[in-house]
Amino acid sequence: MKDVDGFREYAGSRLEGWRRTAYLLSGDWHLADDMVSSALTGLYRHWDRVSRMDNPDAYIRTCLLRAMLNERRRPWRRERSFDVLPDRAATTPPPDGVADREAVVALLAELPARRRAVLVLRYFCDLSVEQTAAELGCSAGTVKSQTSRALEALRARLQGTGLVAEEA
Amino acid sequence: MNDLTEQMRAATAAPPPSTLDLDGFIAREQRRTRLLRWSGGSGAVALLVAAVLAVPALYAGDGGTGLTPGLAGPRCPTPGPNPTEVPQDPAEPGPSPLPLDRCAETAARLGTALRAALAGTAPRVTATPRTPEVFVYQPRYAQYEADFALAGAAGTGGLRVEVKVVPDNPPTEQQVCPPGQPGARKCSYRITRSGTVLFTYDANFSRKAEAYLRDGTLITASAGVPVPEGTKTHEVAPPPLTTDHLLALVQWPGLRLLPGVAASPPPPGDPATEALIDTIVLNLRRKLPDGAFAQPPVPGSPENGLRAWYEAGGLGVITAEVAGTCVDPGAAAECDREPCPEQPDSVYCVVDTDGTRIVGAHGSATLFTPAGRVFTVTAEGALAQRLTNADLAVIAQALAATPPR
Repeated sequence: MKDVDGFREYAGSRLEGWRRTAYLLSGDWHLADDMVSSALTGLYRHWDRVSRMDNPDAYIRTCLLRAMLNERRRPWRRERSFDVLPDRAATTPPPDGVADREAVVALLAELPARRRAVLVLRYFCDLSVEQTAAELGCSAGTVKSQTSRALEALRARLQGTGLVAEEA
Repeated sequence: MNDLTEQMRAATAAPPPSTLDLDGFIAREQRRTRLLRWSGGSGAVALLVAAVLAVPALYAGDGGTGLTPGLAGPRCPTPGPNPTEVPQDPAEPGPSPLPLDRCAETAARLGTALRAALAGTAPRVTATPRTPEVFVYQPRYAQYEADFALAGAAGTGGLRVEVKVVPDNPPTEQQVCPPGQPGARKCSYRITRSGTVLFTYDANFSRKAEAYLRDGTLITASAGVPVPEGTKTHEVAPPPLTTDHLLALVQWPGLRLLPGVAASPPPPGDPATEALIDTIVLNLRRKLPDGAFAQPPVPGSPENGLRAWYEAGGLGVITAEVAGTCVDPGAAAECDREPCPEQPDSVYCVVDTDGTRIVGAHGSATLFTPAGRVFTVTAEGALAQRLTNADLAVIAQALAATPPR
């Protein structure tokens, strides 16, 4: 018999955190909800097994990463050409602080998917290099090099604004 | 907030309301689990009932293939059961069935035609049909199909020929063989003067030719060889039939429209007019690959030269006029052989090296030949917006080059 109450308690307490992680990975709140929904489905169906794991959070983060990669492969996410340019967003400046908050998401969106995932796992989820490597299924050296290149790319775009500190 | 971690936390600090409803999600998953359990149990019961009902039918001697005898006419040859095929969903309407009373007759006629076609196009290749009837009717796809084993000096392989009616327009070149794309050199796309669309694809170990006739018939012939696991496709010997062989097969006169399906007869008209219309259709299909040419060509009258028009469904009308000589007093100024004068931007004027002169305005192009013939192409409606002066000039040049039939 599935421990539904246990699942509800676990998922309910972490749902907002998963949404935030998914948002940083995807750059879109609606897409983030889709990714979390997809991850929740996997989590519910394997809850008996996942609930006995030492670190169930790693399972859901892996689900989110897979959902992000799968979403990018869908046909409607591919580049399309149009005869007419779509409507542009309003050019009025956003309220104070909004531009700064959106800047980091826009910068992350410019990075390749795995580099973005490395930054989110290390700097938002506070995972170590080894933990990040385990969740991404690669070596610690790969995580370090991906992190270095991602930070280098961000620095190049920010031109020394100080947003990105030197890697420890 | 000069730190990346802080920036990330700030960026996610004010999320919009979530569309996720955890309680609703759990309720849906519980319903799904119950449904799966119920359908699994009822599926087993249904299988048991079907097995019990099938036993008397098997003992009665009817193997279960083909149609019930006595339904209408001779027995229609149908393919045997395929154990790997997914059964058709009864709720989903399949292709409209062809008249079954002529099915056996049609299968026999197509079989005879295909044997003759193989003997005529590839006499050195031995083709052995996999079923005694050669063609069988596949009701799932409403098509006649034939399978052959091929053996020739170049190797062995298989051949499959399918004949069916397709309700849609034939595919455009952009859809099946886009120029400039990787793999374009493996395919060819051609529209014949009679409006038949011919398409071939050659992947060395697998080749295909398709013919879309103007009456809606689609004939497909594909030849291939099995690629053993672990073998690269370029290491496999190609099938003994080339794409030229396959093209000849799909254009064989006997492999034609299925009986019982109404063909739109070609419009009556004089051969010169029909030749002009075919040229217009050919050029329009090239220029407007996404155009839906739903209307049949309508011939005009050959009085005072020739005049024909063609309605491209939803796009407008294109008119072609051919005058025998340049004698219209109103057009006298256009008929002289002087070089093109300076014209406003909206007018297009070119003098060719052979003296051919093309004058165009928006939606119209007129070509004057040195022999004194005048070809005018006029586009109306949306066609006038989509076809440039150069496009119309190309059609006018093609009309001028069209030999009378």
